Amino acid sequence: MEGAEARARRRKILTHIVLIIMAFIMLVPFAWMVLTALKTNQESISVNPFYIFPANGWHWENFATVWKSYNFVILYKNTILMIFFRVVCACLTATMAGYAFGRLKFPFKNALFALVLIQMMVPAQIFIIPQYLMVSKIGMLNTTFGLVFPGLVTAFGTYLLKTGYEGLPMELEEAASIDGCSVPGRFLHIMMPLTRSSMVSLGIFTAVFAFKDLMWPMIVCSSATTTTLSAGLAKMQGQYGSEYPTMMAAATLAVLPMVIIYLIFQKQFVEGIATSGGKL
Amino acid sequence: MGNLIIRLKKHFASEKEKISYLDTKGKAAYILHYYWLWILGICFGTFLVLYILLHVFFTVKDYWFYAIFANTTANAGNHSQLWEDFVEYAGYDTKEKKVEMNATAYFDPSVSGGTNNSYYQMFVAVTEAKDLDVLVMGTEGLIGVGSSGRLRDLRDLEDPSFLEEYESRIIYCEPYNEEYSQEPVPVGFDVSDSLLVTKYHLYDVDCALGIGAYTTREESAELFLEFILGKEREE
Repeated sequence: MEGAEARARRRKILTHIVLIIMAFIMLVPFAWMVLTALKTNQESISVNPFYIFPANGWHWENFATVWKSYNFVILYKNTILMIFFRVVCACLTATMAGYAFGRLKFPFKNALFALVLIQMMVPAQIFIIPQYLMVSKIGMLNTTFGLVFPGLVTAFGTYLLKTGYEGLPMELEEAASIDGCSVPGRFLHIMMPLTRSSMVSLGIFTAVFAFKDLMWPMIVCSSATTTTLSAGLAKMQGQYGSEYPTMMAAATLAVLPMVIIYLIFQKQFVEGIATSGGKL
Repeated sequence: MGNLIIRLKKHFASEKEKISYLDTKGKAAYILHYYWLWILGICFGTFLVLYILLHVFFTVKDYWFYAIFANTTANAGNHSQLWEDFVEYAGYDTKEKKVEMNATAYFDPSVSGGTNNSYYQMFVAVTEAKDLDVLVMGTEGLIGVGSSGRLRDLRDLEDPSFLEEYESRIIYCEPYNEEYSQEPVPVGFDVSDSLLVTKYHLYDVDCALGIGAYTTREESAELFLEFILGKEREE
């Protein structure tokens, strides 16, 4: 009996050691980024392994340099606006389309849903040129709308919400229908509130992927006043290619909003991964 | 549609009847309670439609000239000294059409994996959208881009005399398709001694200029070449 307990304890300790090592491996790049941001350029390119921490003091001025060089307030504003509108549009369109595909009966429903699914099977790069053309022809280059444009609708969101609506009991809708509730009423007041967890998952993943999106902001927003953090950071990479402390200070500033969002919505992030399987 | 209008009319008549007994504050509270989402939706929709219409009708959409300067860290974007000087040289009215200079692209087809990035995707999108007039980058890189077929074959220029004038500067690449051509294809001009190097310091070593494969503004590209080579503007 005691032997079994000891074995279980050993197994637990071993599991924890493995998990700590894995967590350490995951955190090293992040720690390296923050520590490099506080070093001198010479220290940052040193191969001496003992230079993990800045040897000649903490150089907070790297943050001031990068903050002065690039207007981070505008970059933050553009990124937050893009994330906000992409999340709102994705949730709005996906919940309506999901309800229609999941609950309503209409001609060619399966064929139309197949069209939605096909979008998920095609690489995003395929859509770049037609989307760029559309945004360019309506004069929306270098605007927030231009940034939001590819996120107005989401095939994955439609699929996720359709699955969510299909999982709800039919009786709820039938009861509302018997009470005289119309289709929009049933959708708005009965069904949509019940898919809140799916919508939160979709919102979180849309926000994360919008934040990480580099290619689209680079294509549609060439102006420094309309670009986002990811594209701004890429431009800095060109400008400060060999100045790692400045680059890392910029990267640290750039990840701050996402870290804050993660800290606030930590529970929903984990639930979201469980709900959607982490696919988007 | 007609059925929907009749139903809506009935619905609003019934709602009107319901709130007729309430005072103004009560009416507002009732409407806000039951119709807040609709009000929000209509406001958002109206704003979106107005915003799009304003941009569609009042934004400058067309270009006089669009250039990408790849692999440079110099300030050569919009409203840089280069931009200002070229606009003045060409006499473009930027309120009528745009002059776009993009100096934030880093790709190099002459090295392995040099195009596996978003910058190259951006270049492809702009080229395929027929927006790109000029690409300037290191000579080897430009030859690589030429081999991909995304630069104009200079033999197809509408003004052949232009090609003759700068014959000594022409750069050739291997054809991207043997069916297209059996011999090297002229895809760019050597501009290593141009103002881009001597005055604006975009490049330290050799550089070359290519014309976008699908551009409809060849004359703008030719004008830019003349500008960077220091040629006097012909009125």
